[in-house]
Parts: sequence; C-alpha cells; structure tokens
Amino acid sequence: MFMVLPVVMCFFYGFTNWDGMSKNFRFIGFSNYLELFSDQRVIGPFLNTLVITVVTTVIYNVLGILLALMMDKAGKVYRFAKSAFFIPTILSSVVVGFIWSYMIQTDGGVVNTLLNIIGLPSINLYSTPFMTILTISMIITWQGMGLFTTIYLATLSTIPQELNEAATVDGASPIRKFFKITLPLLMPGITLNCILALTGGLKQFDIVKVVTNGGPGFSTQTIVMSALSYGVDYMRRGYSTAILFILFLVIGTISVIQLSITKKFEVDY
Amino acid sequence: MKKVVSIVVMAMLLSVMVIGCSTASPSQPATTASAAASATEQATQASATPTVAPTTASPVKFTFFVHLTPILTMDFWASCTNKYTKLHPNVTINLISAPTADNGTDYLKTLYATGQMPDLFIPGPDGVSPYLKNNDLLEFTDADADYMKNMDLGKYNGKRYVIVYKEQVIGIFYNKKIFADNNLAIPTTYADFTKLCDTLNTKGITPLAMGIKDGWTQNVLMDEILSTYLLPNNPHWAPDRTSGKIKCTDQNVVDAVTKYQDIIKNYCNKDINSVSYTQMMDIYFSGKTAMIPMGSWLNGEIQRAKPAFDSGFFLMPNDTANNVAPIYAAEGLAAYAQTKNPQAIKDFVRFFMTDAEWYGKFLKTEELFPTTKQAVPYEMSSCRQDMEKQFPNWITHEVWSNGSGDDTFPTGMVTYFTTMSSAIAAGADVKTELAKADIEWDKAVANSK
Repeated sequence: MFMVLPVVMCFFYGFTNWDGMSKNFRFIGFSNYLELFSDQRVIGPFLNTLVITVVTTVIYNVLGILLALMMDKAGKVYRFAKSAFFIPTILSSVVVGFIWSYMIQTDGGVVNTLLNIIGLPSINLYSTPFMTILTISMIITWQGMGLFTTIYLATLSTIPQELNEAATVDGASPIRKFFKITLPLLMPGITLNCILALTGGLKQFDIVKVVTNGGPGFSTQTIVMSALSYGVDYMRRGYSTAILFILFLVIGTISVIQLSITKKFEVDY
Repeated sequence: MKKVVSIVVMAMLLSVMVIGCSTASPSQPATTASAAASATEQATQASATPTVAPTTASPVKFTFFVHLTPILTMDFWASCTNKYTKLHPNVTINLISAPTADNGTDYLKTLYATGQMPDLFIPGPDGVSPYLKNNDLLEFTDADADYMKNMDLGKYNGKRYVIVYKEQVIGIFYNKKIFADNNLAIPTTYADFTKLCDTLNTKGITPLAMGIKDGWTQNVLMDEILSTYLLPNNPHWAPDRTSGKIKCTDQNVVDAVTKYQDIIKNYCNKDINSVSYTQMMDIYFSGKTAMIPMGSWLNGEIQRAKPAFDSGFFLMPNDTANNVAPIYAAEGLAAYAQTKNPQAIKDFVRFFMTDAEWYGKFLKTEELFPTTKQAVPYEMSSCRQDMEKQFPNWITHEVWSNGSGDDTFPTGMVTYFTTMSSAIAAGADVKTELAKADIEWDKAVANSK
C-alpha cells in the first residue's frame, strides 16, 4: 500500500494542474507530459543526472573491484583498510557535502592548499558546470565506495580458492585468472552494485543540494531537485509529479535492461 | 434493568458533582472581544511591571507557526508567548515550527495542504498569495492594525492580511578603516561608485565581497541595482509586468542587470562559486574586501561576530544621486481564516506589535526597523544609529523582487530571479536570461489563475 498508492497517486496528479495546496484542481490531459519533454529546466537537470549516474556507476564498479582485490587478504592492515573505507558510507550525505564543499573551496580550500604546498597551482573545481558535476560525482563515489567495495569483498569470499589454485597449476597468468575465473564469478556482485549505483545516481539530490544548491542558475540541478523545485517553489505539484513519474519509468526500464544484460554473464561453478 | 438504571443515576450524580466543583458558572458570559483588547492594552501599558490579572474568560487555545533561525530560537519566540499568556492565563499558545530551520515555507504549505494549518503563522518569501487564492486568510482591518506606521503596507486589493513586523534596508556596507586609510569618499552616483572600485582595484584591494554558493546572497546586489534604477520611475513594477505593460527585456532592465554583472565581473572576489554567506562575511570582516552588499541585518551579525568592527553604510548609487533605499517589508504575521479564535489572535498580534519590551527585543535581534507608529528604542550599533539618522531622508521603496501586497511577484518568480541572478553572476548572457524570465513570468501568472 505504501509503495503502490504513492505511485498511482503520482500518475494521477501528473494529469492535473494541482498546485499542491488547493482543494480544487482540474484535469489537463497530457499537457504536463508534453511540456516536460521540451522544458530546458527538466532536460538540463536530467542530463546532469545522467552524467552523475554514468560516472559514479563506472567508478563504483571499476575501482570497487580493484580495491576489493587489493583488500581481499588477511591481516591487521587489510582489516583496518576495510573499516576505513567504510566510514564515509555511514556518514550523512549532508555532512559529506558540507565537508567536501569546504575541502574544494577555490580560495583556501584543503585541496588547493595541498596543491600549493607541493608547488602546483590552484584548480577551480567550480569553473564550469560540467567540471562541477564531475567534482560532485567524485564526492558521491568517495562516500559510497565503502559499500560497493564491501559487496565485492563479500562476493569474492564466495569464490572457491580451488579454482584459482587449479588455474595456477595449469600455468594461467594472474590477468587470465581474473578474466576467466574471478570476473565471471563476481557477476552477481556486479549486478547488485550496478542496480544500486544506477538507482542511487538517478535519484541524486542531497550532496548536490549542499555543494552547489543546483547553481549557478540551474546548471548543476539534478532531476529530483528540479521536480522538488517545481512542486514546492513554483507550486506546480501536478507538473512535478509528472516529472517524477517519468523518472520512475526511466529507473524501472534501465534496471530491467541492466538486469537482463548482467544476468547473461553470470556463471555457475 | 436495575443495573442500567443505577448506572444512569450514578452518572447523573457524578456529572452534577463535577459541575458543582467547577469555579465557573455556566451562565458566566464569555469574554468579549473589546474586553480582551482592553485587557491587552492595559497589559501593554504596564509592560514594565506585568501583573497577572485574574481572568474569568473562557479558555482559548491556538497554534502559532514560527520560523527558527540561530537567533530566533524556539525559546526566543516562547519568551513572547509566555509573556502574553501570563497576562492572559485563559490563553494557551502552542508554538510550532518546521522540523529543520531551512524549510519553514515548504512545511507550512504542507500543513495547509493536509488540513493542519496553524491559526497564526509567518508566511515565507512567496507571501500570502498561495493562501489568498483560496480565500483562507483572516483580514486585519484598519481598526485592528491602527498601530501600524504605514496603513497601506502589504495590502492586497485594499485588504490587509499580513501585519508586517519589520523593515530591513539593503545597500553597501563599507570598512571605515580601509576608506579612511585610502582617503576614499562615499559615492553618491554610479559613476562615483565604479571610480571608487577602480581605485580600490589599483591599490590591490578587492572592492566587494561576493558569493553565490548559498543561492541568495548575490541577489541582494541585483535587487539593490534594480530597485534604484527601476522603482523611482515605476514603483509598481510587478503588477505592470503581470498586466503586460512592461517586460523583463525592456532596455532599462537589461541595462540595470548588465551593471550588476559588470560589478561582479570587475569588482568582486574571483571565487564566488564556492563562497557562502558566512564566508562572504569572513572575507569582509578580515579586511580582504572594502565593501559588502548586504541588508541591515548585517549589523546584527557584526554585533554578534565582531562587535569592534567599524562598518559604515551607504545606498547603492544610481545615475541621479537620488538614491533609493530598498526596504524588505514583506514578512509578518498572518492568520488562517478558519481559526476558531480570530479575536484572540488579533489581540495577540496587537500585543506582539505594541508591547515595547518584547517588540524592542525582537527588533534588536537583527537591528531591524519598526513598522509601528510608536518609537521602539533599543541598543543599536553605531552603524545602525547612523542608518537611523539617515532613514527619514531616504527615498524608500520596497525591494524590487520582494514587494508586499499587490506588488508581490507571482508564485515562484522570487525563486526564479534569485536563481537567475546566480547564473548571470557566473557569466550567463543577460538578454537571454531576461527573455527566459519573461516566459517564466507569463507561465507563473497563468498557473496562479
């Protein structure tokens, strides 16, 4: 009830001009849906969201697998590294956003101060909207990497050592062993992490809100920020729910396609 | 059957006993509005030595929705309601606020949409138009608000729905030491202002502190320039734009917004994208810049953060030297039309605005200007005292984007212009942005119908 009802209501209000407060509203057919496909304040944030989603999904999975392979060993140092990597995950996104917005400040931020100490010039990570979006994507991956690495570590622990040992006896190189044994058997973890990264990226809101507030202008807004702004600031709740319903469809479609692709690569031993 | 009869008889006896024990007689008349008002006035006059007058009035309970800030805490608001309820023991005021400090306006809209609207509230930057659309606001007649200095302030179609409780002026604060050390004079025209900024640049001092990270700070400067350039010729810019008489792309608007962009490009710190309001103040207080465009609330910030800092204030100059003092005067108290206790609420609002001790304490928080006829003295910083002296000579207009009553922008347009001002500060094309603003304005007007 708590999942289906809001989705149905969202679908319903998407066909109305409800302002979110009045008791009265009227049906306006597909007007909201037609408008959002030509609205630059929807298309721009949607593209920003896609960039964040693609960048974070790639980094989470590529770097996550590498880190998991590096940390999949016994010993105090590795145990410490696993815990240290997980700490940002348990922090609130708002806290992470605040910490990083001070770290990357152009004048006097920690990142630029360190660069200056080693003789490099300061970099302006807010110089263009695209650069800012990439910077935000890095902050998001910094926070979430611990979770993704942990999932890969858990998946690695399910791979029987005998397979690698047999391959070593047969003379397989480490790279060949990775692509022929480890990677295929990591597919369940990849499937899960891809779903988490894609849905998380498409719903991104909090870190962007804290780091740039969607600005300058609307240049770094995400689609959820845009929908919220339309619904609350502009009091176009019907239009806002139409945006969110389309987002729901996009997330659902991408998830189904991605599941069907990654499932094909999963193998049994 | 016997059992039922005995239970009924017992119940009747119990109810008679309960009624007999109560102090109020059933025939006792309810307190009339005038009696309550008179009690409030007496209490106000005797605010220095408040005494709890015994009351025979029937119990009254209402909710008061307040916005919380680091200064206006729940305890602060409670000091007002507690003082009132001590004088009126029959009144209970339930103070409520949003769960987090930064979403009061949204939370209020949610309460309204879900049928939980508070009886008394402080509307957000959108003003009261979202509630007026459904005729859900209580009107305050001239007699209800006879304590107001400007009887026309905040009226919609001749009716008052908000008791505006404060005024704030926006302009340019300057570091007196930097000005004195460099023999700089306060500019009175825009040409003087740019000359002053050029001089500072040549001396290696950044003229103005600026930041756009929080999304609103840069809009203070844009509002100053638009107010001083547009409002002297057209004090009712917003209704004229709504009726289509004027456009955002008119040359006078383009010229003013271009000046805003030029100032940011040539005379501000270069890292504006990563600078917040707090950081802007740090930059100014540390002497890295000579000036900061801000509102009179900065006096309160100086008092708290750096009381020894010697700051002066001047109005953003225009070409004629008849400079405008843009006033924020849109915030105040509004009441829900369906409240059960309209008169009690009006009495409380009267207390809020006329109790010298409370109102002075409220104004002192951000060194505000009163909106009442009565003078409300409170301890002020030297900069605020200077402003007080200059105030009677200023040509005042409500801030361009933040007019009250009929001058309120359509829902969403204050947010839109604030966002647009950050895009322009970051280098967006002025004419293109203003053309988009025209489209948004027309959409907002259509949506509000």
